[in-house]
Amino acid sequence: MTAPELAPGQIVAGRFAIRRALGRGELTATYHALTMPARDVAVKVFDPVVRDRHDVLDFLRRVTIETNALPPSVALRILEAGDDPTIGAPFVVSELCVTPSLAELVKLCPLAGDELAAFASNLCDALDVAHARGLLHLSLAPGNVFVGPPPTCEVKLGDFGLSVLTSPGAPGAYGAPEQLAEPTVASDVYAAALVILYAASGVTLDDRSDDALAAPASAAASQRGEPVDSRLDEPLARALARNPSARFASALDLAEAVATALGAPPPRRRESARLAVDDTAAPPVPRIEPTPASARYAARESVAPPALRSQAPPGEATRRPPPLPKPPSMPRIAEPAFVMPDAIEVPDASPGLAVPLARPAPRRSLGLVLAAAIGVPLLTGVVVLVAVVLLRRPPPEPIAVVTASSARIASAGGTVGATSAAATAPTSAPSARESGPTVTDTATKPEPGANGGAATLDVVCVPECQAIEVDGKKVRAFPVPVEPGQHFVSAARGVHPVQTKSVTVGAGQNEKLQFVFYAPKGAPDPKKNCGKFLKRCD
Amino acid sequence: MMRRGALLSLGFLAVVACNKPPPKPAPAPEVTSEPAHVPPAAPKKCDALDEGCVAAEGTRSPIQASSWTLEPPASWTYAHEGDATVAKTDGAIVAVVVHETGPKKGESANRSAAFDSVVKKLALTMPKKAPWPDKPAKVLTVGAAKVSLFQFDGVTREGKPGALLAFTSRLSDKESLLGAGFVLDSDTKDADKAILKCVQSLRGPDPAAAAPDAGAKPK
Repeated sequence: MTAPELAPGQIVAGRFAIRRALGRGELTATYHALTMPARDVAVKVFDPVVRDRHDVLDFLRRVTIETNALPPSVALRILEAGDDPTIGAPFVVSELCVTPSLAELVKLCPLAGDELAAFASNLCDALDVAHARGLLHLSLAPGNVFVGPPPTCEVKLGDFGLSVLTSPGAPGAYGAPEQLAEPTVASDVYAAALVILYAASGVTLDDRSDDALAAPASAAASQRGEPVDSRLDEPLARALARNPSARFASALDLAEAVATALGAPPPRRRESARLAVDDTAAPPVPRIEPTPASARYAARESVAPPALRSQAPPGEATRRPPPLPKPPSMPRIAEPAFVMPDAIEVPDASPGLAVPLARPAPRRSLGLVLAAAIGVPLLTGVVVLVAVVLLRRPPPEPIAVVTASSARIASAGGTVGATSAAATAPTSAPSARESGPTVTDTATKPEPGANGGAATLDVVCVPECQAIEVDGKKVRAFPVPVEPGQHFVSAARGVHPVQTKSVTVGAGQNEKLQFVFYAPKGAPDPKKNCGKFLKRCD
Repeated sequence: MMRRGALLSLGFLAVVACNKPPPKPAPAPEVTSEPAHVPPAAPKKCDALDEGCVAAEGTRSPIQASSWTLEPPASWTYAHEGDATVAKTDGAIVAVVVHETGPKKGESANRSAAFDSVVKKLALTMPKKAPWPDKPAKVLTVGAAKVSLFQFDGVTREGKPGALLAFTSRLSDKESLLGAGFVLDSDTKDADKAILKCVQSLRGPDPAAAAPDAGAKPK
């Protein structure tokens, strides 16, 4: 079986109107949906078989609680979850990320230099924050790492713990070999190294044999025709060590090693310890009122998922939370069927109310309770009033179409789609990056057939592009002979939005296109009045 | 048969021609008692542009009768004419004059008069509203002198628009320097840069020469 296929306009849980499919995985399907008041969300629908997996549902519910306890700058928020009898499948609603996933970025062009160092720093920092709260990701993949614009390249993670839905016996394309049996912080370090390698080259290491891992990462990438800075070999080799204790003690240590290797400034360290103990550090999640579909399911006991509890590698016990007993193996779909659950979860979107295990319940004073008793009805009234007002307005067209659940681009193929979590649904919708500032420029050309010769197209980027596609085909050298007629040219550089131009080339003509991403350092400002004498720009 | 005969005769003629004795050497020219005197080219005075003096690197030209000199841009045609020192090239021209500083109250009037004469000499047409700015756009320190720079846009020469750089310097209480350089907007050879370099090449009188007893002990 697979996840149910939902049509545009179909309503999930009574109030999430499906707009279009974002992607589909082995056991999940992700949709872009709209809910009132005019809010875009990502709805992930699971395979109905998951309803039978009590342990899996419990596991996901607890991961949801843990994820929502993370700072919003680190992880995508899960807004609601439940089991909708109308579609006959469990679902999870999360916020829609406006930034593209790493898979989408690297499909256009790999990261390099300072951008790569900033990305690695932020990725490892986000992992470190999760680890400090005792949460392991274990599903890290380019599809669920969302990257912000340069130069900061902020990183937001999604799909925490969804590796539980992968095929049994396989850690996934980015999973550490030991994470099925004994996941630790080192498992995420391993996955982070593979993701960094992917960011630098677009290459996924399929061969995880000792011989293959012994070879430099740059050599492995070069074999695929994707050059990688050889300075990354040393940190990546250590992070990909077979023995978890031989890897970096923390994700930030990996980031530091990568930054040092690339000659970039060292990554910033958040006060992970403070975040770990201060539950109020995360702002309240914008809560969507529970629906009858989800409210039917009572919250189960809040037992922290042992498989997600981080365990520091030997020697790092001082920096990490105290290690818990050895966790059991993560539940697998292929295991014997479990009792049909009557509920999945009602994840409380408010981290203040999410009380995972191993965290003392906060004391609430009588005053707070009274304030809540008075304030909640008042707030609800205001929200209802605003909702009524907004309901009268037509919903605006969404501008962000990146699935909150991660993913690959359906058309990407190859290594881009090799995400670890099968639950990570592929995304076929255009991303924010793809749908970003698109330049459409139709040049007027001479009449075709002027002299009957072959046409050529020359494309110039300022500064240099990393990927140029003519009619969807990558072109490395210009000018390139083209057929007379209209052609679509797209150029990508780093994490800048892709620019696309259409051009009509006449027969025998040599058409030249220029893409300008930003003014290079030291170049004259085009807005400045460049004149003579004292008004020169140089 | 006829062809064979013709070929034989041609071969005979060729042999005869090849054995021709070398021609006699030409008779030596008669040596006159006094060799012809070619007068050496008189050095150009470079006091008129018509002479076509072309400045080379390091060429210095005096500015009128003052003891100040400047270095015209290399490869430009230059002349130190009676009323101004001028250098020109395609699309650019510069002229420098030395005028009386005059009394403080009349200083600006003298400067305006000198500027007008330079503008007239360079055949420039100033925009209708081009008042002399109160403050210079930039002040350069050239040796011991402070050179104030003013820029005017919208100036035309022979109907072509360009930019004008005026520069002034108070050399002493008695005399001031004023120059103007014009470059067409369409110039692509960095002529404006060359004029700025020319301004920075201004040199005053050698202090040692100007003050022969500079090394003498003060009384």
